[in-house]
Amino acid sequence: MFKFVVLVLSVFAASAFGAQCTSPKASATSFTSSDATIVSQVASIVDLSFKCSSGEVTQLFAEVAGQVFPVAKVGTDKYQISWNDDFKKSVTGSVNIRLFDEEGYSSIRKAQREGSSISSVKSLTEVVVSIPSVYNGPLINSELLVAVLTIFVAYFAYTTKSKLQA
Amino acid sequence: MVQKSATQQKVGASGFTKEEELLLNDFSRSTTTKSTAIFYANALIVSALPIWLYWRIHSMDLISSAIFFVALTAVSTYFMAMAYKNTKFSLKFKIASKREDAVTREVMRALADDKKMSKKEKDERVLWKKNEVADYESTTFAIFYNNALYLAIIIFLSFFFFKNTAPAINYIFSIGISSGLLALLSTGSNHKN
Repeated sequence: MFKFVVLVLSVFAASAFGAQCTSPKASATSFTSSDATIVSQVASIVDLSFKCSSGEVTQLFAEVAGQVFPVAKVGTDKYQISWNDDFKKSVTGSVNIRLFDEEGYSSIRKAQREGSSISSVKSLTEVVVSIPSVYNGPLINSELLVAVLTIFVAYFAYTTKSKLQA
Repeated sequence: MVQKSATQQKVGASGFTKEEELLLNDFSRSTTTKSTAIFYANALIVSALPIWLYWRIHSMDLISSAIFFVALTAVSTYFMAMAYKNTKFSLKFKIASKREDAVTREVMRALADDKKMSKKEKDERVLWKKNEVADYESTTFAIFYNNALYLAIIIFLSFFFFKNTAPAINYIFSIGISSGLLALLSTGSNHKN
């Protein structure tokens, strides 16, 4: 009797949540705002193309450098992740994005509750995007350069005057 | 020749001969019309320059801030011309004594072939040339020195000291302080005569 109930429940569960996603394939393109001279935060957006060979996922979650975001579905097999960060703390370079389904997400929450590392949670798949570092303006800003030059000229003028008056 | 020296010896209304007046003029603080014109023209140019800085970089509106620009440029022109004049005066004699040997040598070489010229006249030529050289050098150097300091102080004040104040306040104080300071410093008698 008990076995029968479990079987019936699992059939309902499978029909309600869809079949488990197997061997998913994902690719990504990204864009990052890179001019930190006019803004204080860096926004990144990743366009994902995600497909399971069989089965499906209802909701995707992504983990980027320890932060977990829900993934927005924008079309058939098309997903989008976006986040913004203070430019001093933003991740740059080759960034690994790990994707999870709801099951994986609940494992992450569990790991977070327990205080253990979320890197041990197995992801569906991973994609790597390249995020350029932000531009903070020139190394020496123009007013400093002009100030140094004028002070140098003024110093030259002053020493020449001192020499003439010596 | 006799006639010429007679006119030179003519005593003027001030009680000095024309030659003495010329000599006194060389040592006085008063400047010739030509050098005054040079000073005021340069002072005007250098005082008007920061308008561009405040208009384009500090984003002050040219029309609505015109009253500040005109008033401060006028004040600064006056102060800068004063600074040029005082600096020139304090430098002129130092330069004259520093350049004396070179000028003497050059004038003597140029007049070496002229056997008819008396020693006194040659000395006068040297004195006149020395005065001209010193006048020219002190004028140009006074302009360079004060402009260099003026612009350096303005850049420092406007970009660093008054960085966070309103542009109009920044302008008034930067221009006022730098031109006033230079005029004040130029009055100090640090030359040891």
